[in-house]
Amino acid sequence: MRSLRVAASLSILFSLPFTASALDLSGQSRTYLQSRQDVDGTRYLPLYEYLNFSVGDASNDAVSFHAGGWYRYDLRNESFGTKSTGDLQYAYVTVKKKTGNSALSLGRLMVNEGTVSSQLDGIYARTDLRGGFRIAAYGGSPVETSGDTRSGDSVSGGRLSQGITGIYDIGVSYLQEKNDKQDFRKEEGVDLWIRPFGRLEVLGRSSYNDISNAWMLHQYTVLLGPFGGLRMNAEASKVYYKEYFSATTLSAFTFPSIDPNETVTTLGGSADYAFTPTLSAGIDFKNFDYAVANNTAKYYGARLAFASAGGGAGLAFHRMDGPTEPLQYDEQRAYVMKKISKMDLTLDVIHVSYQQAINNVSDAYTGTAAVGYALSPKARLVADVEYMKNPDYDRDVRGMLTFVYAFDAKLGGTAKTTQPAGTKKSGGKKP
Amino acid sequence: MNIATKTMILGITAALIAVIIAACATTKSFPAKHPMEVQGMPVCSVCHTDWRTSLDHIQDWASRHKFTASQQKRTCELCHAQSFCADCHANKEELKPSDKNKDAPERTMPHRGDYLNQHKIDGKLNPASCFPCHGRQNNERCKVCHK
Repeated sequence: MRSLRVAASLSILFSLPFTASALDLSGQSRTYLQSRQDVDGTRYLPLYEYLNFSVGDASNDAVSFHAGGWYRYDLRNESFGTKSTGDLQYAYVTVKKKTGNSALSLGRLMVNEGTVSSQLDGIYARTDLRGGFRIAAYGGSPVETSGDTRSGDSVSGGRLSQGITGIYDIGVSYLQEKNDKQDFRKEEGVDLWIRPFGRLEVLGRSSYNDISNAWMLHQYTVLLGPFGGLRMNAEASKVYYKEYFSATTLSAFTFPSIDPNETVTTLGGSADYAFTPTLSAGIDFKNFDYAVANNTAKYYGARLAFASAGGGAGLAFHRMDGPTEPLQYDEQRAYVMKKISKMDLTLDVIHVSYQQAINNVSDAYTGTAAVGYALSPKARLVADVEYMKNPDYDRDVRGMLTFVYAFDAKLGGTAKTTQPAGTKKSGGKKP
Repeated sequence: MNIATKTMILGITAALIAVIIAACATTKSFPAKHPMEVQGMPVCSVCHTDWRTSLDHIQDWASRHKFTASQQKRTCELCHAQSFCADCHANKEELKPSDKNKDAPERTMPHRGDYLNQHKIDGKLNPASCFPCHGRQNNERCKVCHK
């Protein structure tokens, strides 16, 4: 039934009129061949194909179609209980206007509006209005992991905001979701972004559960800087478990895995200093305060990063200081990458030291080596090997071969104009 | 007429109204693409000196990009196709984002290394950080243990 719906949706999308004389097709194919083993020693060799593409009206970019998804076929044994599976991640047609940032999308799409982030099969529209107002609305069937059918499921909502570009943007949003025709989520939210001075920004959001009539979440961040090479931020959040986790499809977010009456207040911050455009260092800190458990946890650490056109390196040390020994660990990470002509090399090492041993093992090590080679401007091959020693594996070696191919073509119309040498080309999109 | 149908009609109506109202907006839409190609982790302040400096993809960007995406996704769309977001934010996924990006260690990716053990600690201390990605989506593999 689900496949039929998807097929029907795609048929409708492709039947919409692309009236221009020429269409641009662009996309990317990524093929992964992974070798890994299970805790019982069973080896798997899954082959994944990730394909995404966009077809756009070359004349004015007004109408475009976008689709992406993946498919897996196991060459050896069955990963996760099936020989093959896949997912249509998104497939939608978009109509855009040249004014007002107006857009109308139809199909399987991701909506991010204020406090709402939701994937759905349906329709989405947005536009700018006069006076700095903006409006967005959507409706359809939610795309979620569910134990039942999608019959009687629906989601709808929208966001209204007002702002002055570069100074502030404040929005209110609403979402209603039904499962089997019964209320599953009814959420309202406020989100804001304010930049009262050149080096100060406040951004955040609050969500309200309209079913239980209580706050779900407050989440705010203050950004300061840059002052020379120094940037700082401070963040504060409060999460009310009962309301925030009320609409879930996973038992891990319900009692007894968590205490639904718990409320966690988080305060934290970070400071980063750029010594040069390529070298920076930073520290970060976060304190978790549990109201019901009446204890705290602290996460803090420091990092050093170097990034240049020819490569980069990073070093990080962090400690999670939970309220009990089983909830404490130290983490260190170091990586280095180097580009040599068409080749690039990456080494990445992570060490985690648990305060209390798990399965009689106190240290977990992960080492990764990757070699990439640009076969052409559009094709790239990567081979990586990962070695792990941790509480579950005495020795776990995994490998992956990756082939990435970017493609583009003009469908119909005249041949594509080549960019004159030495000129800056218009930015492509990162697929 | 069932509630789902009514909701769909309501959504379509609202969308159509929004499009009609767009006739009132006279500002020029954002360009479809960023005028210059950007390589690696973009630092917008290299060229921009106004509010766009806050879009610098520096160390803390991974933890706060959610605010920008939910308020001005059209800005994200200048450089990123939907597939970039879908690489992590998916309804169903088997390959960890970090597994697909071992050659990009500078990117902050969730679950690098042995996260099977570490998630038991992080999940107890801060389950709210798991919820946006696994609360209602992408949790089929979680259900193997969390029945």
